[in-house]
Amino acid sequence: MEEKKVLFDVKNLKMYFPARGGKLVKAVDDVSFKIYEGETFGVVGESGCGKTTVGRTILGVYEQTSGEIIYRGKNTADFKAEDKMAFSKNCQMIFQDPAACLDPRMSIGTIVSEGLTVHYRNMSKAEREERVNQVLAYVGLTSDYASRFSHELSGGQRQRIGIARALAIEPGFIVCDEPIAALDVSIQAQVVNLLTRLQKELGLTYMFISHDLSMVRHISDRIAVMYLGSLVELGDNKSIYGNPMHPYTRALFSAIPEPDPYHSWLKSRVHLQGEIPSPINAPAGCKFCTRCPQATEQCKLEPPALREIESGHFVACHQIQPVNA
Amino acid sequence: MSEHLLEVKDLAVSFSSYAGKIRAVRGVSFHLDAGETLAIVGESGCGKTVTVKALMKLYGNSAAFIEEGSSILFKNEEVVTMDRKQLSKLRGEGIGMIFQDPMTSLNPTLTVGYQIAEGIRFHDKSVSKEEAYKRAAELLALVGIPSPEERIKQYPHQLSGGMRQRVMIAIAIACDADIIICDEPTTALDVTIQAQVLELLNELKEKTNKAFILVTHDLGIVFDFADRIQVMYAGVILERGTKYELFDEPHHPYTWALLNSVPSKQSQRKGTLYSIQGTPPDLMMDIKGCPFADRCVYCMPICKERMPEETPLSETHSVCCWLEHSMAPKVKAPAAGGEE
Repeated sequence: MEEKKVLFDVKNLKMYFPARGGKLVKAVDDVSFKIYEGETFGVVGESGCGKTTVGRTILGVYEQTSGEIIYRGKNTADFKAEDKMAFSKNCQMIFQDPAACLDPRMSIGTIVSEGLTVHYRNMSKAEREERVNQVLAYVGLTSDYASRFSHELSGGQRQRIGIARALAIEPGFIVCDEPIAALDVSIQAQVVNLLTRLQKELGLTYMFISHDLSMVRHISDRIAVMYLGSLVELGDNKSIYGNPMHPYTRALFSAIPEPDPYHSWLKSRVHLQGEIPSPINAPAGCKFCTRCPQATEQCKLEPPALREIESGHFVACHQIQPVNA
Repeated sequence: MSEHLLEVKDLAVSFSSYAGKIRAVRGVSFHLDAGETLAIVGESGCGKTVTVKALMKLYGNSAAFIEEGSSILFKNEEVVTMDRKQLSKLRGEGIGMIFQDPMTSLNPTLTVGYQIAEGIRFHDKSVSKEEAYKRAAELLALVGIPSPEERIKQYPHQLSGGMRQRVMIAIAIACDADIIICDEPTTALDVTIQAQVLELLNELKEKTNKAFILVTHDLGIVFDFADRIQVMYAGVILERGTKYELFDEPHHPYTWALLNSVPSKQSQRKGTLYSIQGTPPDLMMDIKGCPFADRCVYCMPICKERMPEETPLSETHSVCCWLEHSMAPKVKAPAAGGEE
C-alpha cells in the first residue's frame, strides 16, 4: 500500500459537557483516529453517539476536555494566531440544516463572500464577486443567485449555498455534518453527486458524518462506527461493510432497510434488545455491554481498547481476537 | 355500493392562503380492503399526509378544505359529509392514526396511561376508569413496553423516542380501529429502533385483520411492510401496483428515479447516483400537463399539454405516463445502482 499523508491525527480525544447536578455528559470519550489526505472519512452511528461533537471538536468549535489533535504534524493546542487563521482557512464545515445555517437577512453573495473578506483581505470587490460567481458555478447555480436571499431558495439549493460558502476560501478539508439529512431522496442524490464531483476536481478531504448508512457506504473510503461516545470499529469501506466484526456494527448494518420485496431485511436482521443508555450514566466497561448478546463479566468491568484485528481494520471488543495472534 | 373497506374517489384537498389557493391533493382515487397494507410513497410536499388526514377530516381549524366532487366511502358511509358526532366515532373506532413525531403528538402534561385510556372511555362510556387503565397497561404490554403498570403513570418526557412511538401505536389500536394509518412512523427514529418498531407493526399486521396505510418517503421500509404501493407526486398518483410489480417492472420515470437514487448494496462506490434535476412544481400554480414533465428526461411535447390517463398494465398495476402511449418512443428503465 502506498504511503498516505496524515492530515489529522486525533489521539485520545475526550469532550465532556457539564450537566445538571455536577454530572458530565461524556459526548466523546477517548477516541483516536487518523484522517488521510484526499480520502472521505465516514463517521456513522445513531443519534447521540457523539459523531457531530467529534467533527466540531477537531475543527476547534469546542475546546476538547483532553486529548490531542495533530493537524499536519502540529498540535492544534500549540497554534499561534497565524496558525489558527491558516487552519480555519483550510478546514471548513457544511452544516446539517441548510435553512438554519444561512442568515436570512444576508444575500447569498454576502454569505458566500464573508469568508473571503476575512481570509483574502487584499481582494478587490470585483475579484470577490468573480470568486462568488465561480463557486456558485461549481455547485451548479447561476450568478444571479448572488443577489437573492435564502428564503427564496429550495432546500437543495440552500444546501448548495452551504457547500459554496465552505468552498469559497479554497479549503482542503471539509467536515460534512449530516449534509443530506434534511433533504428529500431525489435531492439527496444531487447533493451527494455534487460532493463526489467536487472531491475529484478539487482534491478535497471529507469527514462525512451521517446516520444514513447506505449513503456513507456509497461515499466513504474509510469508516468509523461510533456508539455512545466511543469508537467501536474503524476500517476501510470494504472491510467494514463486507466483514463487520463488532456486534454493534453487525446489528446496525443489518437494520439498514433494503428496498427489495424478495428479501426481508427485517426478518434476517440481528436483533438488539433495549435502547441506548444515557451518556451521563454510561456503563463502566464496554459501553455496548447492556445490549450486547455476547457480553461477559469482563465486558461489564473493563472498557475494551481499539485493536487492529486485520490490516487497517480496528475493533474495540473483548470477544474478538486478532487473526494472527 | 362498494365492496371495499375504504374507497376514495377523486379526492382533492386545497388550502386557502393569502397568496391564493394551494392545491395539495389534485384528484386521487384508491381503495383498501380488510387485512391489506397500502403504502403511499413520495417526497415531502407531494400530498401524502394531506391525503390520509382527509380520510378522517383531520384538519381542525386549518385553512384546508376538501373540494367538491370528492368522495371517501368508509364501510359505504360518506366521510366528506359527516357531522362532528359521526366523525368522532369514525376517528379511533373506524380509523386510527400513528403520527410522525411522537414527541409533538403526545400531550406532555398528561400521563401516557391517561392518554391511552382517554380514547377507550370516550368511545365506550360503560368502561370504568380502573378498567380503562387496566386496558391501557395491557396495550402497553402488547406493544412491547416492559413493566407497563409503572409506565402508565409516567409522562412522555420520561420515555425514549422508540417507547413514545410504541405509545402512539397503543393509542391508535386502543379502540380496535379497522384501518390504522401510519404517517411516517419511523422517520424520527434511529435505524435499530426503526427496525424494532417496524417489527412490532408487522406483528400487529399478522395477528389482527386490520388494514394499514403506510405513508413514507423511505422505499427501504415499504417493500418489507406493504402489499400494494402507490407513488404520489405533486398531489396525483403517478403509478400504483403490488410491491413485486413496482420493484420488478416500474414504468414511470419518477418511480425509476426514486428506486435508483438510493445507493444499494450492489451499486458502484463513488459512482454517480441517478438523480433528477430540479425541484417539484409549485402547488399554487395550475399544472396543465404531467406534473413531473419539467424534471423528466423523457419529456415529450404532449407531456406539457395534457395530463396522461391512467393506463392499466395488469389488474393491480397502472401508470400515468405518456410513454405508455402506442406512439411514444420505447424507453428502457435505467439500470439500478447508478453508473460510473
